[in-house]
Parts: sequence; structure tokens; C-alpha cells
Amino acid sequence: MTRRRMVAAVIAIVVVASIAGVAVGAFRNVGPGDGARPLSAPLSGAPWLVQPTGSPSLSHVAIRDSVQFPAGVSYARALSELYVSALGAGDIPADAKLVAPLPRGIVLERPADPRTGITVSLVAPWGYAEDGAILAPWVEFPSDVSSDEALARMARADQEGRVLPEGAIVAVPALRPCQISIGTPGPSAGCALADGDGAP
Amino acid sequence: MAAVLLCCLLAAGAFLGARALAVSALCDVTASLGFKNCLVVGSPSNEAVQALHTSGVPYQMELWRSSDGSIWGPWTIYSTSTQGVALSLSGAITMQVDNLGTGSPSRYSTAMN
Repeated sequence: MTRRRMVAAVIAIVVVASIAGVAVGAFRNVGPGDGARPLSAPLSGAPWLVQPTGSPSLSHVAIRDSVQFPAGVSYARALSELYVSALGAGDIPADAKLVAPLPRGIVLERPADPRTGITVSLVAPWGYAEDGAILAPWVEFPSDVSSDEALARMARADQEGRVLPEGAIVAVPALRPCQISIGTPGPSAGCALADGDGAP
Repeated sequence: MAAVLLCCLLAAGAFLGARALAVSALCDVTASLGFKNCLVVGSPSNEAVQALHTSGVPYQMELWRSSDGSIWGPWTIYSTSTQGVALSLSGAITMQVDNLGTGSPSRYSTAMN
């Protein structure tokens, strides 16, 4: 092999290897899907994370422990922390703790005592639709970011192993009053569902 | 040399082929007609949607897989900011938008990859 061919072969090998390396680690899929990522026990099978055949109905999923945040943490911040930790490390946030389940239809408990932090459901932290469909989390971009640009940023975040795309914030749903409890909720608290199954 | 070039081309092709191509479309949704099919992509990894005018807010977006009838959502959006959902879905996925009876027709910018 001539010297020129050897140099070309080396360059080719380097190029191919770098391309292959980028392609193998390019995507880390998160969000609604088949739940292929490893999840800690509190999040394993969480219906807002694992949705292989559509958004599950609130009426048909198992109750699970809730997550309580330190005093002073807002619902928006709690969702942001939960999104990053769940879709990143596959676990609840480090500053949060597991507590007893909220009633099925309650998404957020605001404590009567301000010294206590809020409690967020791990069944449907981003709430549920009127028919009970449990919503997967999503992000929001500044108004001047087009959908094409947002998609590009999400793809780059996937490639670079980042949970949050550039400029994005974790979206906060507009919860209905029946999804929120002030103080300890009663066992039957929650919204009546359009599918006919009331939140028990 | 030809073999080296062929190898590089094949590798580049495999790399590009492994990524779902981005598809986008403007979607005009008429009021009172429920969800409209705006975009279809195979096994998407991300989706983004934006109401292009305040008259189209609030609106709902959902994802539908016709092969088995699976539906994800609907998400109700109260903003003209672009919303994005990271996905891990297989099969042909249709993004649908319902303008909830406002601003007929309402225009939305939709994209998936």
C-alpha cells in the first residue's frame, strides 16, 4: 500500500469511527413511550412516564406514593425538578421525599401549614384531561422560537444527553380546582371524569 | 481508494438514516370540527406545536396511532408559545389539533422528528 493510500485509509477509519460513535449515542428518548429507560422504584411504571399504548386513564391505574417538596418550593419548580430528575436519572428529586398517596383525583396538595411543602401526585403530576387521560410532561419555549427551531433544539438536547432543550422550561399545566387540595384532601376528592368513572 | 470512499459513504448514509427526518406543516383548524390531522411521522422522537395567533388559544393537541387506536393527550394549551413533547413512540403517529371552537380557522405550526 502506498503512503498516500495509507494516509487516506487512516483518515477514513477516523471519520467512520467518529460518525459511528455519534450515531450510537445520538438519541436518548424520553417522554411517553415504552418505558425503556431504567426507573427507580417510586417511578417504575409511573403512568405519566410509561405510556406504550396511549395515555392511560386515571380510573384504571394503581395508586402510588406521592412526592413532597421542601417548604417554599412552588408547583412550577417542583415539576421542573421532577422532570429533570425523572427523565434524567430516572428518580425523584434529591430534595423531595416520598409520602403517602394522594387521593386518585388530586394532583397537587397545597398544605394548610406554610411550613410544610407541597405534595405532588406521582400518578399524574401534570394532571389529567377531562376524560381522565393522564398527561405526559412537556416543555415550553419562548414565544419567538418557532416549532421548527424548537424541534431542532430538542434534537440537539437528545444528541448531547441533556434533558432540557436550550431555552425551554418545563410546562406547568392549568390545573382545575377539583385537582387541587388545600390541606389534607378527603378520600373522594378529585374531578368527576367524562368517561363516567368518578375519582374515588 | 474507491473502497474507502464507499465505506465512508455507507457509514454517513447509515448515520443519517438512523435519525427520523424532521417534518413540519402549517395546520389550519376549523372550529367545531374536533381534532384535525395535521402531521404524520413514523416513530417520532420529538414534537412541537405553536398557535400562530391568539385567536387560536386555547387549543388541544393529541397524538394518535391509527394502527392500534392509541391516543396520547389531549394537552390543553393556553399560550402562543411553542410547546414541545419528547417522545419514544413507534409506528406512524399523527399529530392532531383542536382549536376548541375559537378563531375559525386557526393556524398552527406543527413539527415532528
